Amino acid sequence: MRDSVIIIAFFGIGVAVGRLFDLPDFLLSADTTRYALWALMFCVGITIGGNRSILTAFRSQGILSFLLPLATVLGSWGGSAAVGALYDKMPVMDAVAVGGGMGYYSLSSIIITEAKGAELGTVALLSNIMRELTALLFAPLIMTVFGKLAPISAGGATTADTTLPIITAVSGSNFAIISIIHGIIIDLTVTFTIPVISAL
Amino acid sequence: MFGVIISVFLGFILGRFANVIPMNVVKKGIMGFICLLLFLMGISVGSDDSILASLGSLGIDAFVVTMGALLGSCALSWVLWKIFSKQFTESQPDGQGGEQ
Repeated sequence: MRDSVIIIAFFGIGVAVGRLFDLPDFLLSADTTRYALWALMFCVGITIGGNRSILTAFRSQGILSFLLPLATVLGSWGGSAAVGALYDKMPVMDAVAVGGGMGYYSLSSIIITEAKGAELGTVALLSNIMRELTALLFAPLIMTVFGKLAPISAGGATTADTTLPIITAVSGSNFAIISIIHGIIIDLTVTFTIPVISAL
Repeated sequence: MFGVIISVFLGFILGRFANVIPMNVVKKGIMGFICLLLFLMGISVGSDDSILASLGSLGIDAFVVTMGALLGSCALSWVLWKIFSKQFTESQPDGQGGEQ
């Protein structure tokens, strides 16, 4: 939670600085952003490569630990594509890129900004924050309407940490492990798919 | 975007086979780069009057996509729940092995 506040604060401060000051070109340069993004993704890659424990957890939970993230991903892509198709203002692939963040607002908005510009990046930031907030605030309702796996699907990439407490409160503590595995898999999925989707 | 994918891949190789950097340093690096990039993204947004002016409609775009994605995910997870719910109501002491 504290991390989320810090991240959003940096964005807010950036907006204020951009609004108030005429900045030297190097700060606005695409190169700085690109190298910082590569460095970020390199670090993310290290954490993925170094994570052995997920395989053990995966094996203990059975096929659902694979099927649930799959449902989340296909549902997010399908749902956002449908919105993109119906909503004239937004191309389908833009909508899929935004919806494909599945709550991982920091990484997805950064990658989308790099690929498609700050306007869609802002939509991605807003959308994925909304997803996390909706999963947090409406978990009980989501569970009642869609069943006990739905709060996990709704939470997307956040279910290993931010939304884990509300998920276990609403669905039960026996969903904790599957929720954590789900969060990690969705994190991975976003990391690998958003760069590809936003380049299409 | 090639650079992005190659970077992840290189990091993965390092993390998997030859990790010399302590994980807590890597995680601090991630947090640091995210804050930097979001700060820079904020500057892009703040210095672009047309984005600031359309923030309201961008918010609506975001809301609509969010609802679509959420509905899609919840609907498919509902299907899974229909199939797998028995596994959870036959209260098992630890974990639920789907395939035995």
